[in-house]
Amino acid sequence: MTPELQCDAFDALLPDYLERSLDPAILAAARLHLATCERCASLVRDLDDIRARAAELPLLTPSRDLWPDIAARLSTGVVSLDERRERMAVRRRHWLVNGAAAAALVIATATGTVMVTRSMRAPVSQGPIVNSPPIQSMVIPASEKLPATVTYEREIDGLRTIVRDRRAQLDPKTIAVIEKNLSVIDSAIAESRAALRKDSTSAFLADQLDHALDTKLTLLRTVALLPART
Amino acid sequence: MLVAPFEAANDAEAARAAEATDIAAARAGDARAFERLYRVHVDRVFSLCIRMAGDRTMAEELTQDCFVRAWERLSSFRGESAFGTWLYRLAVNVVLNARKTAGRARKRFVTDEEGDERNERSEPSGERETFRNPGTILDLEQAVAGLPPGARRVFVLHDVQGYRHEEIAEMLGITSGGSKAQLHRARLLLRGALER
Repeated sequence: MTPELQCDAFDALLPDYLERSLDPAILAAARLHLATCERCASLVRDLDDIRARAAELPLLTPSRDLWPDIAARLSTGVVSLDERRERMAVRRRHWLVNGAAAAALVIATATGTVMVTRSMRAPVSQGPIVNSPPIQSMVIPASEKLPATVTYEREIDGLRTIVRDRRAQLDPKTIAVIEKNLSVIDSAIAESRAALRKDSTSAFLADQLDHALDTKLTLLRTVALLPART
Repeated sequence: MLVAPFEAANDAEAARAAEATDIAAARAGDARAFERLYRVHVDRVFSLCIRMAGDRTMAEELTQDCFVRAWERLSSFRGESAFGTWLYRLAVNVVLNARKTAGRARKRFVTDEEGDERNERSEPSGERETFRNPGTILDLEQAVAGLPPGARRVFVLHDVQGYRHEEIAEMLGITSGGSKAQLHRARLLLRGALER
């Protein structure tokens, strides 16, 4: 026997009724209700009508010819996606080599400073310097097999260590500004990554992520080389 | 009597062949061929942009962005779907990315859902105001433009463009159920607007 529906219950079924996705028993009950309820029948007619009219909406035309503006943009530096990817790869390799060199320079300077300071404080140690990371382990290998983001992360981690070690040498106000900026950049990186997870082929989003990582790297490099407060 | 349908079929076939030729030429860098593709598809791309964005000026900018992006990405078009299908999906992505960028520019003070609620509660915008003026004849186009953004996007994608809920859910980053709920809400709001 088909259960009798009230309007409230029919309203709850309405989205699935319009989608034609009700199971047969409930569909029969809905149809029975519609046969006896003008309020709900009218609602269904109106919504069906809206759907039908939406599918037949006419095409709209721009208020002007957009082609001249588009053509101008095509002729000013537009490159194909493949070419663009290749350029991005070259740019990443460029960053990789320069970044590795810069990081090596910073690390060598910092390590040298630590060693000189220690040699002034105590007799020459016979063993290795316990707290100084070995230079080789922190220098980023310029391997082109590494994904760019991994390279960025390694370089950023290395520089972060240096910056952390230098906190005591820097003005607290400077540190506060740096931390605030890093937080903003980290948010941008997180947003870009989240967007890329949804649209992994977007060159624009990849660019945004690269830009944010570059910005972070530049800031950390600057901080690593800041003079100590006087 | 059978000549007309055959002629129509032949015309359609000829149009498809011409389009394939233009796509190949455009991929090789022929801007004139790309202009022909633009002329064929611009109205549909613009219609999608204006109905999703709800603003004519922005829709014209988005339409330009869409065709520039299409030119850049032509090499990724493999012909697995019709060129129009590929292009309109690209246009949807351009509109949605522009929305995200605009959202970031507003520092995300208002989420879509909050914006939807505000749209329903607050005084109508200038455009919506004209819908509610006594004596103004409402049409569906105007009523769609007056929908809250989330409901409008789903309505346009489903009822106007013909995408399925699963596709819309993927595009908008919502669930299929969420898409159905927004669609139903949009239709009810439209019914209310059209009755006024």
